[in-house]
Amino acid sequence: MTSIVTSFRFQRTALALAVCAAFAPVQAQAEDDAASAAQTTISVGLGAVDGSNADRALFRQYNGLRDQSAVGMLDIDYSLRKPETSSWVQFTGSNLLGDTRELGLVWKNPGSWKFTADYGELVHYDPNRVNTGLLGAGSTTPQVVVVPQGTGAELDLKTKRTSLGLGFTKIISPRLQFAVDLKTENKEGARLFGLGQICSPLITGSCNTALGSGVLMLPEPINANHSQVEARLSYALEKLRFSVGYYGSFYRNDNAALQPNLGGFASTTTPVLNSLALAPDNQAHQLDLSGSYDFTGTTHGSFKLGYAQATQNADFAGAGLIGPAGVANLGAQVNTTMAKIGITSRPIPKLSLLADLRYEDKDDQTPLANYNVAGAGATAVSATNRDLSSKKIKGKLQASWQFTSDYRGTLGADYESIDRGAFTATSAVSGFIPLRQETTETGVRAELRRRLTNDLSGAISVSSSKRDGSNWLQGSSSATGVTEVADPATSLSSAIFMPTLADRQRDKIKLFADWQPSEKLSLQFSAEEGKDKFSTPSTYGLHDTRMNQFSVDWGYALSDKWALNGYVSQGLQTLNQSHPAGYVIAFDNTNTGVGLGFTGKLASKLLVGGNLSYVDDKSVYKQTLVSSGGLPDVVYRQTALKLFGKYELEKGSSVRVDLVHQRVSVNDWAWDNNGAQFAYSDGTTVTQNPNQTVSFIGVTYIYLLK
Amino acid sequence: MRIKRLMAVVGLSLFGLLGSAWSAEPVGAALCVTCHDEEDLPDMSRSAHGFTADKRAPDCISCHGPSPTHAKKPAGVAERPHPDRMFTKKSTTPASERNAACLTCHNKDAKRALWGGSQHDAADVACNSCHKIHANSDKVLSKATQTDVCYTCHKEQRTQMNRPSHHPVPEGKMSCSDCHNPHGSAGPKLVKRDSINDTCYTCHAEKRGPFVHSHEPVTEDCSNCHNAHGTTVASMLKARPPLLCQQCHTPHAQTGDGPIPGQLTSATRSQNSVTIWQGRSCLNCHTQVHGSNNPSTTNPTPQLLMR
Repeated sequence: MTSIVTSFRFQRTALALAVCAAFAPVQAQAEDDAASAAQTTISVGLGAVDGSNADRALFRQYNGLRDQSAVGMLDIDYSLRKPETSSWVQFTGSNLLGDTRELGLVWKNPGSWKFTADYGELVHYDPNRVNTGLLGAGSTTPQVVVVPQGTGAELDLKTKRTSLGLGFTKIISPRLQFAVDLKTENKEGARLFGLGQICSPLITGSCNTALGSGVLMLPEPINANHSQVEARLSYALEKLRFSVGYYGSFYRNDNAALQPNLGGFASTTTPVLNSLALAPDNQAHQLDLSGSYDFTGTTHGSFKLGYAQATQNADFAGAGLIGPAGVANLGAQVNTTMAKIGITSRPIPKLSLLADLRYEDKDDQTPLANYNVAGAGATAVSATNRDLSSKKIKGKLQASWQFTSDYRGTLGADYESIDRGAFTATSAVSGFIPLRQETTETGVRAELRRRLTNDLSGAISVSSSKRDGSNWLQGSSSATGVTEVADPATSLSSAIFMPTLADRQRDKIKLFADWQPSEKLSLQFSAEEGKDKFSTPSTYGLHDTRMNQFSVDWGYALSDKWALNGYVSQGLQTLNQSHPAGYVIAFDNTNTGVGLGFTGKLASKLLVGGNLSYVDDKSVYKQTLVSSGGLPDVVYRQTALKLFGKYELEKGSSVRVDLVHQRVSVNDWAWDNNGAQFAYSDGTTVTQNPNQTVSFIGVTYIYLLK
Repeated sequence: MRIKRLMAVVGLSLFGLLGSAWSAEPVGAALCVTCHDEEDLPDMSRSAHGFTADKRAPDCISCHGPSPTHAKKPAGVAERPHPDRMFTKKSTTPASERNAACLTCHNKDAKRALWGGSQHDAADVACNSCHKIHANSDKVLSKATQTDVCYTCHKEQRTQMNRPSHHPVPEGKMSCSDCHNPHGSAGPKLVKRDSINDTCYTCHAEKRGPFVHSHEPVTEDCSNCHNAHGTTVASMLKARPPLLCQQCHTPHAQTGDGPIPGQLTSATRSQNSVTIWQGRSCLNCHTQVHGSNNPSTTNPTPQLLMR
């Protein structure tokens, strides 16, 4: 909840001051007193929410309004400025009576030092509700219990983050500054997770190694801490400014593995898949040097050099996991060296130049060990993990020319190359995916921009880029490395080529206009269209994608007291891909959004405002080979009405009323296809109410203490 | 507050309490407030720029320049010329000049070290396009209202944030600047840290690994699969599995036509079209899609990201 604080203070005009100047000493004292006065705004209120849990599935995702029908609201905003001691204290607290409370403190002596502290809670409720017989859900050792569909217990999956941050900045001298920030965050809860390839006498059909059988929903138990520290020493000379920084990130997970009791279920293979590794403890450190340099008054440079090391050495045995003999942990180490330099120049008033180059070298020093078995039976061989080193170079050149005081044209060129390094010969490739060591993308851009004079400004820009790469490689499932494919159109004719590696032509056009035909009316137009076309040796995989977005925003001042604003936008995303299974899918997503808002003064002491928004998002899955009706459309619609009124009771106190009404309809076959629910092998089902209606009313008393 | 003090000085001078000040010509910012008072400008006494105890706080001249022809209209000129630097929406002062005025003081902050040549700088975005100076509160500095400013230009992101699977930005629990540094960065898309992944890891460190079995597209770039601004698919995936997965991987089932009514029973085998299309789709079995740290060497090895 956000408080709007109106300051009611004696308006001291120049004339008033001039009159008061006769009493200069008194006035000076009054000035100090006024400036030193603390200002505290307290907002206390009560809110009521209707609708069941199912009705609030999407509404409550992040606002903490889970199932309570009444909520207390308390916000505090405290500020104390004392010019005579150069101190300034700000304290804010929001949603203090809820599950998403936030507290913040800033205590500073501007120009000398600053201390900050903040505390925050954030809850995320999964919009889906689970019905399951599972016991111990959310623990590392849940017990699978089979129940008929819909007869289990309701399970609400959520995660909660609780964070504490501290910061201190010291301005040692006008040139030297030191800052340190610490943040630690606990995250706990559970989220959708699971296990496949299990079978049971309860499931008909055979259990064999070729095909899996059922799947189980096993929530991932979350109980972890992430602590981060950042320290930076900055130094500024007249032309050169630079800083040296350290960043450390330390992740600790109390849950190393999920080891469910599968009850009557077993793996389709040996051994039983009853130990799922969870996220391992890991840490990363980075040192950097960054800054800027003024070569001349019109030529400036910027730079950043960074060296980072990410490591992960979580103990396998401690997690209940068994690895290769003699290997206690992965011993992962990835060193990343990054350098970025940029230069901007205006050699003549009409010409602006820009050059930028970024280099990144990711060196994977993780030891290789035989973690894999490639192939099966007598031909089975050991295979190692993979070295994922890479080198990336990215650069751009840009020149802008000021044709007139209003018009500026820009031409730019972009370059990006990624070298993924030689494939680790001792590792195996699972699946049939062509690989590529290098990809290179070059692009050009042009833009014409008009500055806002005579009430109209805008820009039109076009860009085009082309990506290709080195020869295609074919992996081996028997750990014999990769081989270069001479004629991929023949030997890889039924392969899918990854869109991140495939040749690609990307074109985009963008238009933006800002028009203010009168003092009362302002309009904004925005339109963009983009296309990606992929070229691969086979007909399979992603062929092309397209996007466009059009929007009109407007604002209109009806009078000094009333204003309207709104927007209409429509966007489209499409992708076409085909598969070796023989079907082609054409995916179309259309999103329409409309917003209408107003603010006004009904009376001298009564402010009102509101907003009505509508979102219609439709995904269409057109397919060939539709033998069973295929895939229904997925449609998401949301209508939200928000109104507020604020009445000033007296100077420094007011009452605010907020009303929210939200309707959502969602038609998604992920968990429910025309009334037939997807069910896990143990009878677990997951649902989301297709029609959700929720209303909220909040009354808040806002008091300004001075 | 500075303005008010200056006005007090003006008042004092008017009443001659400073001796010869009555006849003295005001100079600098004192001259500004002979015409401009709070009737002209909103109260900014509680902003950082209005904190008089901070010796670094600017005055009118610091930002707008000395503006001699504005302060004293030259003879023979019909309209009073504008100040040297204007920061209004229709200002003719180039963005680079406006920004240079701000950077005079604000270039010492490491967060702005990479402003030069950044996307916003190259697009001629002026500081005052986003920041409101003559005010006690700046919308762009508040989590709850920052998006109002960013959406002015970034319409597509506004659309995406309205979708059901999103970061808690519309709820005011996160802001654009939690992930982006609009003043320039060493990463793409103005992300705060040096890469998209490093930025994501600041909140999702469990995805960093490195893992025994990594999933290369995940290691390379989170945005290969996710759109952090919001999507209609759970977990902010860019496309619904199996479509997303099948952009790289071959499908198990030979039937690609989606779930078949009547087949949704517990007898369903995991590699039929129902289990591939419904529930968590491919993730029903390949749950460790971000990477697995399971070192087991028995078949099927965790390389398939199932355990």
